[in-house]
Amino acid sequence: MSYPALLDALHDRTAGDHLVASASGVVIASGESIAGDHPLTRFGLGVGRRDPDDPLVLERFADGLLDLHRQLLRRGIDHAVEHLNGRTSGDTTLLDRQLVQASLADVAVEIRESEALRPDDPASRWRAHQGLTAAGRLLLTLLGASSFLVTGPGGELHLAEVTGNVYLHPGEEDR
Amino acid sequence: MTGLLSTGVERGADALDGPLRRLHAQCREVAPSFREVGVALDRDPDSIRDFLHLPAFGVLGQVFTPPEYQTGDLVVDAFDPTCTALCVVLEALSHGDPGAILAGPGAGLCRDVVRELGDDAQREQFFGRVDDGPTWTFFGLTEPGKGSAALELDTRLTPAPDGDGWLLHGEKKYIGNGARAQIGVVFCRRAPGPWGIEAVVVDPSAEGFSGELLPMVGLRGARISHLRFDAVRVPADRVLGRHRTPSRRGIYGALHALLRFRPGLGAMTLGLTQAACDYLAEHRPVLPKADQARVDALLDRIAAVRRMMYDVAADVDRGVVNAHRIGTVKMRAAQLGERATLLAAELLGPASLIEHPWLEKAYRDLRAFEFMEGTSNLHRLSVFQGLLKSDYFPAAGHADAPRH
Repeated sequence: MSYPALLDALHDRTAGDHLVASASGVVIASGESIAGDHPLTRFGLGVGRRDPDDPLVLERFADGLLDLHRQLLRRGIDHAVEHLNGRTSGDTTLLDRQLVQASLADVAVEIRESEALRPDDPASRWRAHQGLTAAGRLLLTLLGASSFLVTGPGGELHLAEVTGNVYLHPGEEDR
Repeated sequence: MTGLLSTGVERGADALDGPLRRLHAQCREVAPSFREVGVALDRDPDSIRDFLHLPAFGVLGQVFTPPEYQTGDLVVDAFDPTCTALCVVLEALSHGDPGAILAGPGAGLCRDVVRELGDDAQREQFFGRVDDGPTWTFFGLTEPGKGSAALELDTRLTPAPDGDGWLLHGEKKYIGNGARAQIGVVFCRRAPGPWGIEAVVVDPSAEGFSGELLPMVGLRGARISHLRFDAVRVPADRVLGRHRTPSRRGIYGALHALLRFRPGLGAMTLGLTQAACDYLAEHRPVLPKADQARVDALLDRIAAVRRMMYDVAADVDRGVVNAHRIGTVKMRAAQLGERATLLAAELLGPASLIEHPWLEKAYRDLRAFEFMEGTSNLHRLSVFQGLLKSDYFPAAGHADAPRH
């Protein structure tokens, strides 16, 4: 399932009858749910605006976004293992390289640790998002130029970063 | 906000002499026009032709065309095409938009390989073609299964069965301007071993050549492409350096061009990184003390990498080409770029990546510099090799001897 579809499902689970709007009034959902012309359109997302949702709704949505981000990272690890196993350097695969193995392990550890964080306020959710963003960037360093394809972990993780910037950024006072 | 000191250059560029500072100033004057170009290319990579009249593209023509082949009017004062000058120009123009640079016509990365390896007729043919109206070129090294490891490439060059030249077979991936170019250089294998690698000039209109545009996250104007060669005929006179020994052509040419251009890639990264910091300062002129300290720490690092960049560029200009130190500059610049955009997005507040479209574009674009010309991991390994060879730290009080 693509990130835009997963995001729409999260909107549906969280609010049911409408798309969740962030505290700043920005709404991000799939391009099918929000039509329009935006740089994110070619990634399959649409951007809208309306009155912010209730803080309790936003909390549930934020926790769901962190789950989605972790899900993308796990998918990214699977993709990286397959990709790196198919790439050779000298007489071995890139996956056999210690540097590569350690980086993949670091990403996996961050996912596990993030699951155990249990953030309970906007500031701690933002910190959790930043941890996942850093893990994603580390993962992408292993994929070379393929990390820059829209159709792969690089495109999806960009969407998770932008969505987090919209829904998880706590604002100046709570940061 | 421009990030410029009262001396007219950014921190870390203090050692530039008068003519290079003037070159920097002239480039910074025309660079802002690239902002509009970058935004337009992000929407439509083919819109590049609407902007080729801009003086900034004329500057690129001066940089990427050897002086002996330049025919148009000069946009900036004439300058020696040194590595240092390349860094000055590319950083200044990238403050406008590095994607516009990569989208532009001209010899680009092919400049040095054709100039170094080509005989008179090959240089005349290549640069004459590039000068004949807007002409895009590509540098075909990276392969799908091997990345940019020049020694491991699989694209093959075999003798044509009819005895007329060669045939090219294989594919190249992530090649800038590959699907738009009118001429390019492809690195390929004629025989096993490092001296079996050749650099050949390829005409994309030849039968068997196909190019496909890849959907990239950013830097869309570069039209990064997947190229396939199905028995593409390469005339014998298109093998660059055919008058040279095998050890002084193919692989030598690839490394010669890449290492001399790599500080310039660092410069492009620093230009956009500085622009992201300047954008933040313009939109949040006053920050809480702790946040300002984070920005200041980043600016310290940018200045340090800029100094390192001009150091390695000066080394290249005197014949010292240290791949380990050059790679460090490229790697650190890319890392700083990502840090700068992440920090700017954080400090500009919730939904900053929606409310500030330029920042969202820079946020995507800067990620490309991590993998261009080798990933950070590759350059880390190179630094380690430099340590093993006692070739990473300059010896105290001794300048390295020139090595070509």
